Amino acid sequence: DEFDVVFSLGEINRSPIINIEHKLGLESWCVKHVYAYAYAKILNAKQAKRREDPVLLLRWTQFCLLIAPEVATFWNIRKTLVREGRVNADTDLLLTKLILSRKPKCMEVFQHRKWLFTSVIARTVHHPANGANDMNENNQIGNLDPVHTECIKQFLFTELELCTITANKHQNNYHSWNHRLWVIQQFSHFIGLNDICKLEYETSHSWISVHVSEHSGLHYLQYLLDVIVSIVDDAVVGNLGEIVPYVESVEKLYLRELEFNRDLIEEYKDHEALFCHRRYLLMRLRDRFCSSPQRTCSPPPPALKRSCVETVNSEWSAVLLGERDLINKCMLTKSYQKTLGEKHAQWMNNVVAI
Amino acid sequence: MSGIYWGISAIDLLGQLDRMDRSEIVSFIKKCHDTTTGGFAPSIGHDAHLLYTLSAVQILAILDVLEEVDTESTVRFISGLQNEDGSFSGDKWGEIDTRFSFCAVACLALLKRLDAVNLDKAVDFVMKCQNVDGGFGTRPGSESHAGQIYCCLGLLSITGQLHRVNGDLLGWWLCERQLPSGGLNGRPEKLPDVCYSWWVLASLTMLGRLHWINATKMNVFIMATQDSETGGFTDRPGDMVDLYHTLFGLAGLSLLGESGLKPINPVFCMPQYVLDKLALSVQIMAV
Repeated sequence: DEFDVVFSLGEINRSPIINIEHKLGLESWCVKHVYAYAYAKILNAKQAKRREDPVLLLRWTQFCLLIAPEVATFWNIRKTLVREGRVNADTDLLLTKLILSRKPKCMEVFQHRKWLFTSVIARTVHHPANGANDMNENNQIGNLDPVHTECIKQFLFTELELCTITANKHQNNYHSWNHRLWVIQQFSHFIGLNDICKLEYETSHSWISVHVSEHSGLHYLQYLLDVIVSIVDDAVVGNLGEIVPYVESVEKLYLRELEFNRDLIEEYKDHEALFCHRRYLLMRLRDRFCSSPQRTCSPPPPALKRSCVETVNSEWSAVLLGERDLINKCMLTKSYQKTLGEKHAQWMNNVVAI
Repeated sequence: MSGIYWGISAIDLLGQLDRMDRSEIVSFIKKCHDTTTGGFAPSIGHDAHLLYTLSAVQILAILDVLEEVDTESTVRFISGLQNEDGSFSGDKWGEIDTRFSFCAVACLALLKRLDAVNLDKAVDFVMKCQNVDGGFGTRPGSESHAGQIYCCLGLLSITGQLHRVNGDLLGWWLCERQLPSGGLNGRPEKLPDVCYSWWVLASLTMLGRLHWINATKMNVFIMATQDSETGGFTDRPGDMVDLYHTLFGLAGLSLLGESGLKPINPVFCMPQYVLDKLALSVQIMAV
């Protein structure tokens, strides 16, 4: 379940492979020799007129990818072999997972997993693809048989787990969180959003509570909130409480999120990411209040400054008072928090226009 | 291929392009040209991809030898990668990323073949990637990232669509990338990295808001990343030097008006005189 290159001068004449408790290690002295060998073999095979034995290609690319997973050419060879049925998607899922244990933010690895899903796992019938994004149109919720749906669900939950593992291994892991976003989009397409949103809403809050400087994690929560609000607005779900217990309206959801965010800001000082998240919440909430039909404000202008805030809106006023209070508290601290408070005040002035 | 582009651009900024063996480079590029697909590979024997196709064309443009390659096949490669929704895949395997949108459009602009793709849809897709904070990410919904922002703004600049962007909002986000050390990061709470002095400064330049950055401190930071022994630049002071950071350090300095460096074009990240020779202009936001 783990792989890494282990530093060793190779002074003792023995196999460079280390295998302890399901952890695979490779002594560093041999890496460049074996890589050079496998690399030459692969490129020769690509050039040669006759077809190379797939078993060998798989072995060579497997090694090279463990060392250099950023090289797309190696993944492409494996994609071709997967398409030809020479290797199982499962094998590559194992390989990619192993590689991620060493390089948890390698974009090409996540790409390969996405491709395996789109081109193999999600298809009801395996046919030679015209392109990796060419989905069988019938692959939608309700059109799949239960076994296939279950298979897809399993895969997606595995992806979420992998995202969590890789996010924990590397701070602000862009590609890991991007992958997580993609997983939610697949739930939307194949399974349905209600259950996963409920689950992810909880998971996301737990994670954020212990990773307060993670802009990526907070951005993910923003994406999730947007998805939740859209399924409520589109009446896909009866009421918001089905996804977020005890919350009856979208406005109340944002208010609750502002509170959660404020608690974190006050407990964990000096975190810019928390303030960035706050900005998102305020902008969404303002749009919400200002788009309500009872308000007398004009449609949102494209310009930065908004004029609808002047209309009598007690809820929004309360929010603004809360912000003023938070800013004042920040100004009393002696650390970076003071700067963050100042920036927040400036932002409120320039962007929210109060 | 990208390494060559970084090296060539850097040395040209320094006015020393003549030190390079042009024929060797052109020969390498030709070997990397996949005549079946029309695209360029990162190295000999590898698969073609949009990223390296742009790098190859950039190098050829700088060396002023665009005619040495069958660029019509390249145009076909690029146009074949545009999807229904206007986005671009990097290669036939289908991965979508706004970086690829930029590669496609920038490359076609250099080849004077912007007519080969649906620009309106390309722009529409990029706009779908705009976030609440004004920034852009990889795909719709993705987190804002200075590198992706540069790519999206670059595309909008080439297509003359910068007005679609909220310049103040995005400019704000970008200048908040500057840290007390003077260096820039690519996202909130990340460490500064000299390559962001390109992505962020170029983006601010396109938005007409380069002056929102503290240029003096920026300058100090970039200079501090130059290693006095090797002369190369690194991501942050003390780390290993490489070509990538060397180019972007120099490029950032050029944008800030460093004498001794040729002016650089903020969209293409190539010496401005090359774009002038090609009669290629880019849109800059008026403030």
